[in-house]
Amino acid sequence: MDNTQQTIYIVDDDEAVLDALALLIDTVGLRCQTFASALAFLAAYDGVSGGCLVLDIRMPGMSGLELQEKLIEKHVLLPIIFITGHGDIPMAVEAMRNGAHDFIRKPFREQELLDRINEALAMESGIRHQQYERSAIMIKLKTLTEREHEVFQRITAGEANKVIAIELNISDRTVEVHRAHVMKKMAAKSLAQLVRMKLIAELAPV
Amino acid sequence: MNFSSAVLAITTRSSLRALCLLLLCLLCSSHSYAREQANLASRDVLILSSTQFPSEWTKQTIAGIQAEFDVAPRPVRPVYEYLDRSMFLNRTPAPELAQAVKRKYQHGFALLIATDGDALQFLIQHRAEIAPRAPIVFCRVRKLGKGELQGISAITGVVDYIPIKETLELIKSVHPDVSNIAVVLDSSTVGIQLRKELQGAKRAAAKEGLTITALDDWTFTELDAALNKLPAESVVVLASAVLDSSGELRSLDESIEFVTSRTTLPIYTVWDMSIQQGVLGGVVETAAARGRNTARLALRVLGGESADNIPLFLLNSHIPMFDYVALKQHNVDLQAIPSGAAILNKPPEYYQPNMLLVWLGSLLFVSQAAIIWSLIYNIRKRQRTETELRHSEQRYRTLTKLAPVGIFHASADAATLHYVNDAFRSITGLGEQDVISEHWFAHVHPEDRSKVEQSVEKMRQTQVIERSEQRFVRADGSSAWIVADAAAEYDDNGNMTGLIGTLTDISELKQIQAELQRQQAYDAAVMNTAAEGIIIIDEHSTVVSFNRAAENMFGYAAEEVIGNNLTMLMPSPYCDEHAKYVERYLQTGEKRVIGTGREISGLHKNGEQFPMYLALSEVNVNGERSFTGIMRDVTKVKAVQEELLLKNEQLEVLVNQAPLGIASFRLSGEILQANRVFCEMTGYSLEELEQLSMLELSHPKDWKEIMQFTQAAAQGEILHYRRRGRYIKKNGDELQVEIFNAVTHDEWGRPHLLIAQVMDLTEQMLAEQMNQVNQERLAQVGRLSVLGEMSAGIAHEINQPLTAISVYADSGMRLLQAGKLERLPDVLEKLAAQARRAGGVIERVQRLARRQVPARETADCNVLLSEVCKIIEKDANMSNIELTLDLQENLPQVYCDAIQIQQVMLNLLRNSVDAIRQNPQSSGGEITVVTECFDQEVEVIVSDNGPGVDVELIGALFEPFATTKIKGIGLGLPISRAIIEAHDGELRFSNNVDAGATFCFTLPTI
Repeated sequence: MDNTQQTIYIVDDDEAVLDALALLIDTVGLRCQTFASALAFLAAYDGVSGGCLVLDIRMPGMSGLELQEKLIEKHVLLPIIFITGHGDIPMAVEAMRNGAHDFIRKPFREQELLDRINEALAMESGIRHQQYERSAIMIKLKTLTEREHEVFQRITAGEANKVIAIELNISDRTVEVHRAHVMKKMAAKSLAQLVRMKLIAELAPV
Repeated sequence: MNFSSAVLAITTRSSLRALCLLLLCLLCSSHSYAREQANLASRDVLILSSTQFPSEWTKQTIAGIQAEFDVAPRPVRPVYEYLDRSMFLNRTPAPELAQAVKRKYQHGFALLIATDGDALQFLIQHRAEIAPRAPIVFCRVRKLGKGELQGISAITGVVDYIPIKETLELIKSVHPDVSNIAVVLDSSTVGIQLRKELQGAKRAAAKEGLTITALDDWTFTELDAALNKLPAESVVVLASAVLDSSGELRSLDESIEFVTSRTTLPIYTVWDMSIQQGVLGGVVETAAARGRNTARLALRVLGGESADNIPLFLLNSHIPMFDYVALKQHNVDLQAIPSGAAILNKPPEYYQPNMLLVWLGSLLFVSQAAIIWSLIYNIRKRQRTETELRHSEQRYRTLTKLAPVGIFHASADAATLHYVNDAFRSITGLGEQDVISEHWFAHVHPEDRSKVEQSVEKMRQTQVIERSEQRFVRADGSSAWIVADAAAEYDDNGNMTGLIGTLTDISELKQIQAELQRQQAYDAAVMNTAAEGIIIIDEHSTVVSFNRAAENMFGYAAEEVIGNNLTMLMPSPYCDEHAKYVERYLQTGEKRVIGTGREISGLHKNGEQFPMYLALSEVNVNGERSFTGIMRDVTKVKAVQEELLLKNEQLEVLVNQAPLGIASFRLSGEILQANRVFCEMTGYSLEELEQLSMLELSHPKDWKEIMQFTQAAAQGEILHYRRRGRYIKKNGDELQVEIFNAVTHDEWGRPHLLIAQVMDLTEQMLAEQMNQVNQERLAQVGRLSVLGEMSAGIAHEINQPLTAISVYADSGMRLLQAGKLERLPDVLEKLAAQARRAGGVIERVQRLARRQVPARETADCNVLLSEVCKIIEKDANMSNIELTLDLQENLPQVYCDAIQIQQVMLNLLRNSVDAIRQNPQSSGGEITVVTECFDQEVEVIVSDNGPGVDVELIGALFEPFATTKIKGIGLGLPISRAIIEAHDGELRFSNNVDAGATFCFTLPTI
């Protein structure tokens, strides 16, 4: 949503390449952070900040592929763009299988890299927004009482108040009261809004 | 009578005497019988003699009477009585004597006979008391005095005289030279009477110049002296010498003996019975004739004649009589003897006038001689028998003494031992006391005592003696087994009187028996439990024994075989040969099988043959030969043997053909066996090695280690070990070896031998040394070989600056467009730096490939190639690629940087391997390497049967980074070409016609 809040993390063991890429990203007005090794990145990254990762496959110490595995284990959602050298194709294939956003062969055209970065950032921000909304809904859901949660489930399933009253063996009036509380607590202006909240909440976390 | 007395003299023994008496009884029996049948009362006759005991004279007189009585027509019963002469002489015969006779013979007598003067006197005096009416018949030598019988009735008799004058005449005629005749006269009635008669003779002789001396009135002592004093030419006349002047009375025989023993002069007598006792002769009266005449008168009286009517009979029956022996003794001329003289002991002359007597006598003599002879024969025989008996007894005594068996003589109830020999004592241990008493029984072994008691009891009851065995306990406590045999002795009534028997010590026999039994039991056990078949045959091959194992082996029961010929157990060729073998052995004694063993075939009952091993031994007992065969079925053994042989052979081949040296040796180090390689390795022959120990073979510096190992092996701590060491070869060289020792164990699981497998390390060590030398060069080659694999890394190295350059340039462009010019110089500077960096990478790679200073040396391409092949061989083998080297011999040397050339070789070979590996072919890959020399150039050709080079790639083949390999970077061939060209050579390529590619390079020779 807001690109400026995202950071492009660059990990490459070659100092010159790292510096050049940082300059390039800077020239297009994006924020970036550079790391000389995979371990340095793992040490610095908080695990939640948005953005994307530009990663050299072949590195001394922990390789790019190994870093990818670590991040998957940690459920880090940063999209990864691999930069591969000559003859690293098999590694690149493996990286893609593991869910890399894309890979670029060196030497590459700079615009291509920038395009990939923008795509990755956009995708990352979309996911991040969706996640944010869901977590907000989940928080609101947790404020509902048990009876209000039952009523919430039945309302969003399209049941009429009367039906709910019979099923829960409560009065229509009481259903009305609960419904009002649910709408207020969930900050929903309409039943349609409430249903959307329910759908988001039911999405599996990414 | 003479014969009888001769017989009596000879037959001194009692038995003979009895026989003679019997004979006499027979001769007299008829007369005794006749007497008994007569009317005895009227013919009882008292015959009275005066002598105290019957003298020879009296005896012969009575015998004459008796002889006449015996032939009397009617029997006469005579009674003989004798007066005590000494009583007569000293005093008047006592009337008591007559009374005694009267009382004794109360029936009286028909007749009284007096045989001498004294008796006549007694009868005349006492006839009234004894038999008042009985007539008296007498005989006497004394002349009757006138009127001597006056007034006495019923009396008659024979009157005799002593022929002393006739004797003197005889002496004169026989001994004409005699000068002195001494007449011995005693003090008896006869002697006194003769003194008177001699007076007239003396006077008559004196006229003829002959002296007649009367030796009278002497004691026997005085007579002795007188006889001794007689002159030489004297003759003695023994008239009477029974009573001396002192009253000493001697018998006639004694008197004769007295005189004859005192003088050697010829002695004459007047009594016939005196001749023959050393007396020469004389004119004698025979007492028997007088007795017979007396008896005839008596018979006439008994016949009824009155005694008074019978005149006195004057007897004149004197005859000269000589003893032939004495005549000879005194050398008397027989011619001088008067013809009518009787010569005693001169049979013919004696018997001639008495033919009947002679015949009778001869008959008697013959019969008696026969009897005597038979008696003598019997005596001799008996003596001989007795001698033999004595000897025999002696022998038996010796035998019993020496006999090894005990001999005893016991009472019938066996309770008392009368005699035992020494052996008996030594066997039973019985002492002297035990033998004579019943103690022997106490020495019977306590366990056998009841048995002995029973058998003795049984013997007592049934008289049946059984052989018995029992033990005796000796004094020293040892016991002896005894077998006793006995036989009974019986008396004439058939009662058992004793036992005689033997004892044999059978202790040893018992022991041997027991031993034998045990041995037999053992033998039987051995025979029947033996795993081997055991067959015993005799000389004729007849089976005597057949044990259980043999039964199993041959399938026959023992009974089926025993007694049959052994050949039934043999298949046909053997059974024929067997007979020959046995025959030959028995004849020649030549042993072929005996004592050794051999393998033959046996015939089973079911007809099958089977191999067996036979060991044969001979037993010779008392000349009887038998053969014992021990056999084992070797069917299985043979199979195992063959298998073993096969395995052995395999093992032998394995050991001998093994490329390793193999030797076995004791823990002590002694070498037992070694294979060919081991011998070649050490330079010793097997025989020499057998004299050596492992230590001697090893380098002294290894000894400590060897001993430690060996000790550990001996204690079972290790079963095998490996070590490197040095052997000292026979020629003194050291030999580097690697030894693998393994321990073998004996049947008890103890460490036994060590088997050493020895590898000659000489070549390996040399190779290792060579390797070390080439290590560095190969390291370079390795480094180069890594280069290819590192091409990806090299690419990365170049890519990095290129990427940076590209990014900087793009960024600079954007800055320029954005008008941010102030930042451009920095960007451009960085860009330039990255460009330089890229150049540096290239240069580094080039420098690596080239080496900064090429080191040139002379080298043999074949050697270089061989080393490289060793590196590539492993890869090739793994990919099933056959690498063939066809290297030209004596290849000229080249002057080159060996490492670089090897890099090229390695590169080409690796390309070929990779090419084949990328396109595997069913037939398997082949790489051929050839070296050749042409025209001052050495050419190395590497050819493969891979896919070859793509046509489109051929142009760029030697361009850098042109590669078809997944991991290749395309620098190998360019660098290789660069290297070869740097050596003034050429690297070329061509695809093969059929398949694959060929690369070759050339190098100039020196």
